[in-house]
Amino acid sequence: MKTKVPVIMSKNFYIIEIFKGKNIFDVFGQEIKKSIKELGILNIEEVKVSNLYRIEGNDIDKKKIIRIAKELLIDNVSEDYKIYRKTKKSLNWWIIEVYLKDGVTDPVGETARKTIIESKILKDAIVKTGKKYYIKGKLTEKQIKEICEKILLNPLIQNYFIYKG
Amino acid sequence: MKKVNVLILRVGGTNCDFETEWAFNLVGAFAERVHINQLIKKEKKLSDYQILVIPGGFSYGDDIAAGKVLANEIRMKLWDDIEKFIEAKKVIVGICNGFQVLVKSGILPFNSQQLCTLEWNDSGRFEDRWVYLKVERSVCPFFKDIPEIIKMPVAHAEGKFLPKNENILNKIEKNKQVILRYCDSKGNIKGYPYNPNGSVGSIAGICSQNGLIIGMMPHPERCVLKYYYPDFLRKKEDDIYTPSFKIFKNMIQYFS
Repeated sequence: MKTKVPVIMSKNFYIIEIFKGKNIFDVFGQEIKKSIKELGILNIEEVKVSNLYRIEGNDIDKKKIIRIAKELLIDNVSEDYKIYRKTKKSLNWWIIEVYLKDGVTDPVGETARKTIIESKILKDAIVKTGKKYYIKGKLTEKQIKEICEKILLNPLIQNYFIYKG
Repeated sequence: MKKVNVLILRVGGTNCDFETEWAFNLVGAFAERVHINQLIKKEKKLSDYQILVIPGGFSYGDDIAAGKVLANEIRMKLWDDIEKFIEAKKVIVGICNGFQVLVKSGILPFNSQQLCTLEWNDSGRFEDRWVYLKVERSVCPFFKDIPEIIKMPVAHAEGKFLPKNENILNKIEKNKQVILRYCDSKGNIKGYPYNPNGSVGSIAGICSQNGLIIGMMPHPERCVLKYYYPDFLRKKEDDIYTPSFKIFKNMIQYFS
């Protein structure tokens, strides 16, 4: 079944970043760290992983986005969230954001969109999901690119952006 | 005797509904698989049933987090019906994904806001195998006459039981709301691989304060007959029915 693509006129958007709370074991961070070491890149200190929801809509404001994050997306026990529009660089960390390329179906985004509309917080929205990786260690840009293309994403269907603090 | 009506809630991605229906029918209930939209559109009434089962599976593809979307949907669209169902002292069962839904919607453990969660397994993998379980002395009436150590299969990636803080864990323990714990073959509480997900206190299942709402990660519906056990040829047991069968039977007998 073809899903209807909503018509969103303005470029009004927010990004919700959902990450593991304090003292919660970040399984994916650990697994990725292991995979990077297996790649032969040993001077890696820490890896953290967050989920991103980029929400675009006509009638959005920060209050509504906070409601979406708190009521619909985060796990109130183990997760926390941040809301922003522009990715901030962070000292000592490499930040990699991964999104699906335009035209690639985003099923998680579609589910999140349906939940948002059913909750009546927004009338309509475009939701794009992505992943954000924080990598700490003395690494070169070449090594980061190798990590991205061999471990973190599939370059055929995903785009990535690298930020260095 | 009138049969006990069991509603097996189905949504996109549910995949243990058939075997749950079969298990309930086997113990003498009248089980029916009902899609959530039938309840929302009032084609079926929750009040016509005595037992509500949220079966295992991957509701809505486990998008966002396992059970999260269905928990939101229940909160938004079915909450009044569920409240009445609980007030009428009827039974709610959540198995695997159903447990995740009950916990994330706050129905378990205290029917309030969400106080516990089921996090990703410590191993970072989908754990699909048999485990030993210790049946705790709890307030739950459905584990009567069940042996102390039983076997059941688990199949989940997000099953690590995690309360919000120590106080909540203490309250659950003090109220005797823990129904099952992972253990080794002799009943000792041990770490991985006996505890497949790293659950706090090796907790595999809990119930509500009155014991009528239960949630568990293992799948009792996948082993109601002895032929499901991997070692059934080596063990010469006369009774073809397993402790899991007895759990379903106890649920039905509660209403007789």
